[in-house]
Amino acid sequence: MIKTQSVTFSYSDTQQFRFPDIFCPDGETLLITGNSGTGKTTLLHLLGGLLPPDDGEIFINNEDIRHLKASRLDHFRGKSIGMVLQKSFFIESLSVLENVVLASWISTKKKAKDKALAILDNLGLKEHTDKLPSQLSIGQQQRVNIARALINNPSVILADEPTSSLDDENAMIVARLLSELAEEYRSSLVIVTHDQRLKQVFNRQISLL
Amino acid sequence: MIGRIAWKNTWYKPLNTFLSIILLTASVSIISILILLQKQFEEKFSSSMDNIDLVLGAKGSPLQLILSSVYQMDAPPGNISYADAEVWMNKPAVESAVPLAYGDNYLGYKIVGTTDTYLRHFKLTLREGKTFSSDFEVVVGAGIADKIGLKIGDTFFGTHGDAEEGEVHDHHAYKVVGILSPSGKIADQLILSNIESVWHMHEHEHTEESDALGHAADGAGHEGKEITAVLLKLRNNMAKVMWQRVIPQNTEMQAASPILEINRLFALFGVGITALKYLAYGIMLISGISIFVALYNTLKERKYEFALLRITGASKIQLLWLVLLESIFLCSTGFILGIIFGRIGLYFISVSSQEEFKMAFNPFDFLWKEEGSLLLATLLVGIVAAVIPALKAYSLNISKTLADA
Repeated sequence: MIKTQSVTFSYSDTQQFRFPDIFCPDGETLLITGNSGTGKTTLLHLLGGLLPPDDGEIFINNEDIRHLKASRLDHFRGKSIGMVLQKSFFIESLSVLENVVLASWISTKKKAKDKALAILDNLGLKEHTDKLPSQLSIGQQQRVNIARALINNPSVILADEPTSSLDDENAMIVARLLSELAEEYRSSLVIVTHDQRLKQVFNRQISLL
Repeated sequence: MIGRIAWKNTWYKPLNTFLSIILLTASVSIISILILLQKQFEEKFSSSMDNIDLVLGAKGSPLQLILSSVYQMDAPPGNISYADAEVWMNKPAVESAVPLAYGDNYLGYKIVGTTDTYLRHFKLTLREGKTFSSDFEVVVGAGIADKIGLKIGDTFFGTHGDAEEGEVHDHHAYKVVGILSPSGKIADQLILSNIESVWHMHEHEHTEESDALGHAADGAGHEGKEITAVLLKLRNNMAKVMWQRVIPQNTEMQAASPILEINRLFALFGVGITALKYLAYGIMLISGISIFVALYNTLKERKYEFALLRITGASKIQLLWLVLLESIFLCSTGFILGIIFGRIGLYFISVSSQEEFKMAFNPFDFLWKEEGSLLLATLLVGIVAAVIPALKAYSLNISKTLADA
């Protein structure tokens, strides 16, 4: 569950954002759309605790992340927030499986190898677990990102333009996959995007102006 | 797990790390060779010196006398009369006196005429056989016996002087009657006989009193006989100091103190070793700079990796650790390789120094204190080189990094 109240943020005096309130229960998907410059990515970083808001409240699982100390916030982020980014980033020297397992280790100190294998299998990446990330196609890399975001059963999945680098067919596949997984894992899924194709898929929508 | 990422990253792009490791390996191996050489060299010199307070020999360079008589490394300055020497050998202040007479060599190994006081003085024991009792019987050092395979009962002809290529004395053969246990001392590389063997070997030659190589020459009885040097152990310290002045004033001989001369020698090559060590530490500094450049250059492409770690829950401190650990892994690898190559290098030095100076070094010696501090120095270089890149990773602005991607 994720909920915000009158969140504001400013990079400078001339660049100020006042964001609409957001609410997304477990297992549901919220689509946040807007043109570039409307603060989509900024909002996502605020929700993920990567940026501190100037004012307002952000509740994830009834925990106000504004009041967490830096190290607690890092830990909370690893445990409760899964992020899927537009570009796929990896530890290039580690295998696909190790990249996913790493996320479980960082937040829980335990290596959830079996679970990682199950998720990768679920995402159709069974044969690629021992490859290096650079050996996969872009679509496959995006699915590894999703697997990594899911490994800790996060309360919230934050996806930043997850489909914009994909073709129509793959975009739909990834969008459906994400919302199905969110439902399956009982996570709130927040997607920020300018991708108009996704508007047909999700009911719950907010537009940034 | 941070350690595992660091380890994997270190080897993911080996070219980046190759130069740093080579430089580290070079400096560590040079330093460890120098440390081992210096320590073993001084040990060898000191162990042969024990129990010798003064050396009685012909006038000339005292260092030459010490090197030739105690370490068998140089030609002796000349000969002395056995009768004159005996006057001092029999003084009450003398605890033990070991006469030495140089004559021949066998394949470059010196044949030294002496008495059985030599074995007692240096606490040498026989591995097999017995000690020499009559002319031309020899006891062979363990090092020689193993190297050229001499056995009890073997006979060989000596070569005149101390060069391998000299004239061969083929009228008298030496016979091996005993082999010494290894002692780590100069005796490992010596062939010992009685003094008379040296005299008799050269009797037929009827040469002048003594030749330039410091040969003990012929004559009858101890009267007129010559030896090369006498190793003295004295009972009181007064005599040690006094004799160094009294003997050259009153006789044709000098009394040199091994400790004094060897300390002079150590001081001399200590300067060279120190200079080489500075050079090696200089190389280590350069390798530190190369690690710094390698880490710093990859920061730009790696900031996404750092951002990724942060969004999956890693703390700033963990990123700091990651960069520091990578550098520490590099340095440890360089250190281990350096120690290994240092050992290999010392082995080859030992092989050649054994051929040239009859001096062997042990490459498997490990000096915990010195090489321990070398390890600390290496790690320190690694940490210092990584501090700035690590702080950059620590203070990375994730939101900005991701937004600019």
